[in-house]
Amino acid sequence: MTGNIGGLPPFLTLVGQPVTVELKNDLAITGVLVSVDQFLNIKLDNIKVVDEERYPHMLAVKNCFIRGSVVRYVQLPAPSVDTALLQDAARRERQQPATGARK
Amino acid sequence: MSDFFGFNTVMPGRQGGRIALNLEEQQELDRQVQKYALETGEDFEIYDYGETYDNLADDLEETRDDLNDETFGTDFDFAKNTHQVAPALKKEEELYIKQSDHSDLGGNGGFAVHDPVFGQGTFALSRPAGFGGNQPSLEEIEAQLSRTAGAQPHMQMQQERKMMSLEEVEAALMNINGGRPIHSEAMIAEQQAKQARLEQRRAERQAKQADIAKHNGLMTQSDKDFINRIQISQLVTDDPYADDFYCQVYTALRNRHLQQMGIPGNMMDPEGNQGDSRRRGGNGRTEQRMQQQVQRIVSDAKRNPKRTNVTVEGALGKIAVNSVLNPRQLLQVSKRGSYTESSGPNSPKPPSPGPVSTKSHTVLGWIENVYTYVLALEQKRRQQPPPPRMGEEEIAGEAIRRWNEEYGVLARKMWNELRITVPIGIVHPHPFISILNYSKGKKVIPRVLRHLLPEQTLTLLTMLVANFESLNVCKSEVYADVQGNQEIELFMNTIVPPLLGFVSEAPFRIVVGLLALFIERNNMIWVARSKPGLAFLTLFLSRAEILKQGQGNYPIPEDREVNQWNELYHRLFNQLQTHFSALFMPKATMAEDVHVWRFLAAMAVGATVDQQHVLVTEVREQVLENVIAAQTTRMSPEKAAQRIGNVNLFLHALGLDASQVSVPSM
Repeated sequence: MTGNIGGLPPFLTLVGQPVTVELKNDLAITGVLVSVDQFLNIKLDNIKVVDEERYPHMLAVKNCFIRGSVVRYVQLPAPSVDTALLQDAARRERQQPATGARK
Repeated sequence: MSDFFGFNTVMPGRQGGRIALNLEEQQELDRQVQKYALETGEDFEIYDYGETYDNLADDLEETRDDLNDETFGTDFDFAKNTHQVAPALKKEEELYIKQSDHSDLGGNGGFAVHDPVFGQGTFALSRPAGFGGNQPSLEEIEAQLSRTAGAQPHMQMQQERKMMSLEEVEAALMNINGGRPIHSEAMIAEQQAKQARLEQRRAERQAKQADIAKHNGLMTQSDKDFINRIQISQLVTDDPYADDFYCQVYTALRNRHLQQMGIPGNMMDPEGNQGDSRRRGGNGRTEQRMQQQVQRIVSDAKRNPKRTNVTVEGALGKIAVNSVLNPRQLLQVSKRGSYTESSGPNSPKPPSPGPVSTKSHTVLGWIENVYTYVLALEQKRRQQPPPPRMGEEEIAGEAIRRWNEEYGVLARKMWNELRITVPIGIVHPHPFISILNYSKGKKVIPRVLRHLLPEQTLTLLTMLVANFESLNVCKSEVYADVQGNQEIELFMNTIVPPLLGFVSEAPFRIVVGLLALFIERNNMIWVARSKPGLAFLTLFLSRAEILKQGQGNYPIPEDREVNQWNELYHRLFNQLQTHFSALFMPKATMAEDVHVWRFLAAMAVGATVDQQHVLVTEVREQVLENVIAAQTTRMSPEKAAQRIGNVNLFLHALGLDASQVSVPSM
């Protein structure tokens, strides 16, 4: 198969929804999800920093690209996620681990 | 090439070396020149075509070639060598041109690459540095004209033409302004300024293009294909369900919902990471090709798997190769030593009849196995072979048979995993009940039921009924606890509805049998104090009533069966007697008690007059309380109506109504 796509599918269904990304440096950003890739790098549009703009240097920033490794949490809109389906997807993933062999 | 920017390039006859251009033709010529000038932004007036010959040719060294043969040898093939070096020369030239574009362009269109006269990539070798691309060609034109015109009359004509051109410029400007008469110089200057700005912008754009074009042609087509293949291989999958399960099913479900609500949801295809889904038709072929490429890549990768551990010869130990697919472990979790039974995640354990430890992990393991089978069954369902078309029944029949077999095998395995057929009494609680005690287990039941045969469902129900009181949701103290409430709700939402459906279709004797089992094996008082217990009781009672009155799909039961039923009913009633009022929760908990009223109604329907009397006496307090509360205290009209409705559930079954209740005056 095309390698481990594990954490990606739920994000694919969320493209276009507003999400809040909390980073490991405690910065939390709300924005509309534009794209996600296999490393869970995230692109957001129309971002707004969450906490009282303690980070004034972000005032002028409209869109951003966030490297996946610095993300701590991603808060998703609850009605957009089907948890039972997600559990099933995880079970399948466990049963058929995608072959880690890829160029 | 008889048309050269509108110029008539037919060589005029040599009539004393003078071009026979009358005024009209001259004006036409000038007009063409002006038009060309306006298009390209050239300003002709600065050119003085009178003295373009620079006499440099006079300084050419034409002599001293005598020793050529000795220097170069007689058999030096100039042409061939030039031919060999030509491409390099050309490339050098282009680079030179591109570089020289950075130097002063002077406001003229400095398109380095595209020469309108000679086409792309050709330059006159004698091109002076720093000039825009246009001028040499213009010079060429003028040179040609001057050559055909001859020398002297040439100069005269130039001057004439110059004056003409001034008039022509003015005329052109007038045309731009819509025929207004000549206006002040300021306006002309403004026009020129506007033009200059346009030219500047065009120059910038072209400079940018040239900048980008500087790096054209670095990759070959095969290079680009290679990169494309790698990128696409990340997106294209062999079996969309395997890798992209969540997306596929989620979008399918959502589309089904949307279609039910009338909104078109046609975006079935999983959109790639860029969210780009271009014309599907045109991409069909490319997708096929990509699929083939991907399959090739995948099979190659399968043959030579990249190892996650690299062991160099002679080194001590392995080197872990980290990648996206094999990330470094952040946490080190140590496995505990011994379980009484180790359950591997992929190998379901066979049910053993002996004393089975019901440690939580074991039960959870069973539940996960059930999930595995359920998922497999659902997947199988999706891959159900289509019904055979005419004439293909042989082949299709084979496929269908095979599918049925596989489906049956899976279904049987799932059934075994549920531990329903384990005999009662060996282990307490019964394994199936243990499964049901977990919310995961409850959630899987509706999905399981879809794949069970009716008799299996009946067995399941029987087992459940037989061991009902050991369910954790059956403990009445659970009401106070939030989590317990959740479990109860879950039970009511997941297990009761499908079984309700089943019982609603069941014949009379089955219902009788189930109720008998229920009463025999369980402490009714205990069971009745729980919501699930009441739900089941209500279920049985109401179904029996319907059947007795012949309203079900079955004929009216025989007397013998009805007698059996009545006997059961009396037993139940006697057991619950004096406990009816206790069924209600203490008001302090503010719990919903509509299910109690429903149960009471079900009881009342099947009761004799005496029994009804007993019922009314016992719950009298509750009824009064509700009615009074609805009528006197200040509560919202909906709540009041609800209370009255609840009470009426019961009262109507007795043939009474809440309005008949006389409120004892305080």
